[in-house]
Amino acid sequence: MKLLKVTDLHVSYGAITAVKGVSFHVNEGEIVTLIGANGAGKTTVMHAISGLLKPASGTIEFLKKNISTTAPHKIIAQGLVQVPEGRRIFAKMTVKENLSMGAYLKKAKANDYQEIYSLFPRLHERRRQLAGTLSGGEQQMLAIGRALMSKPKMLLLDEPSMGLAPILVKEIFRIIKECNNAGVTILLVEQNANMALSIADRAYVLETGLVALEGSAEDLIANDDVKKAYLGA
Amino acid sequence: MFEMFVSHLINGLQIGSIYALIALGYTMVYGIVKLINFAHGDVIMVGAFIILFLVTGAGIPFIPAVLTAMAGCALLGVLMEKIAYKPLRNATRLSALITAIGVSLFLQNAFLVRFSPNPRPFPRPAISGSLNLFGDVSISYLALVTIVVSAVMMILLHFFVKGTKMGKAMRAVSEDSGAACLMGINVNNTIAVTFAVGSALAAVGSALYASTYPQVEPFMGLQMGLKAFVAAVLGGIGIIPGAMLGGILLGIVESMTKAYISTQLSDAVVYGILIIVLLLKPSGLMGKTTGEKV
Repeated sequence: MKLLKVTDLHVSYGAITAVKGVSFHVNEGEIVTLIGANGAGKTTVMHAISGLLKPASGTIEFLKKNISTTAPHKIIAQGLVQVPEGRRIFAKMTVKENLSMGAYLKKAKANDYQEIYSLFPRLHERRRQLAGTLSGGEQQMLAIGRALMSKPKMLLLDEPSMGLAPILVKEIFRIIKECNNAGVTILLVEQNANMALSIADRAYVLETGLVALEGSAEDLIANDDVKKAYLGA
Repeated sequence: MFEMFVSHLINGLQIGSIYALIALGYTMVYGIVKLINFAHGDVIMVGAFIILFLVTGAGIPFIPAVLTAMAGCALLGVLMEKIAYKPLRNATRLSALITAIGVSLFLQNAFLVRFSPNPRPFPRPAISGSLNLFGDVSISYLALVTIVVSAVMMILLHFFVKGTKMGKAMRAVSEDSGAACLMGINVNNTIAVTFAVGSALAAVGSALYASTYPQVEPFMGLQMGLKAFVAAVLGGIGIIPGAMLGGILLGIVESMTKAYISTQLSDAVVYGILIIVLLLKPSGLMGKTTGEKV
């Protein structure tokens, strides 16, 4: 079943059109990745899906309902949750308070925290610390944990590997895969195409606001153009 | 000598706690939308008029009148935000600031046209007498009520912001409204509630202020609003405990200057302190100096 379906999406910032007719879909249970260089329009697509930006035209359907003009808090209530680029944790709140913010629309139960702590033991150790004092990797874990607190059907991850040491990137991707195995559908935006393709089922390559290529992750890894442009081979 | 000092201290605490209550409105709004709401002082004026009309016009007892004024001012705050500030949320800070001055002038002049510039006597509650503390030092019951009511309001606000869901939402929006939005927080509602709470506190401040200086006129919010704004900046704008500290400090400094230096100079000293604090610690007494993030 198509959980998320984006059709002919156009998004502009004033006179500049950043996304010029992007179409893609994500089936239930899949990991799909959008890869592409800086300025290809990946984050813009993510913001449009979450309702932070209003599309100029095109539709975004989640669970067969058009959500392209729905308010962000209503989109989240439907189980479509984003982990934003740059983590955006609440630095002046404790780790636990940050997690409770993730469950803002539900009421967080002790059990919900426990699930996140078992996924990220580091967060348990630091639950009373201010989130601003965490390292970059821990902050990324907190950002993902915070999003999982709402028990989403689908997670949008924007550049989760950004600014992290390679060993932490591996750890983060292992956890993303684990969430997916637990039944959460994933849309992943990445500049680190190697890592993204290694865990994804399917991928779309974005170039200057358009889908340039699409296919299974295996096919794209083998594709010569992709290798040259994104995999550094 | 010491007894005089304590009396001045009590006077300072009395006016300072009113400054603090009003400063909270400035600082909460600034914290969440980065706007100095210059019309906040005029909310005090509107609150005083509401109490005046309810008590002298409709014969309603003082406390229910104050509660109604709190609701009325909360509504005024929300309307102000929806009509004047919300459409400008993504505009430059300067446009929003000028709009705030416009809202202030609008309220002042609308009341001027409707109710004339003549001061009216405020129906202050009959709290007279005083409590003897020690020796010749006594505290008037009005001062005691003012200080206690302000303290209770501030404690309630503290628990509201720290402990309730809406309070957490307010903190989240003030830190990063985009991220708060992604948590499912309704940012517009949260901002509206912030204006409502700040304005309701201003109504309480208004009742306390007008009970101390019992005159109601359309420009009464000007001076009071400015002082409370100074208090908010002094403590660190956007920081709730900062507004409390700033207000009380300002009241005490003002009272001491009037007593020991000169009454005429008291405002000069107050604004002078503001300038010195801004020069030495631009983020205010309780503010953290943070570099602008790029």
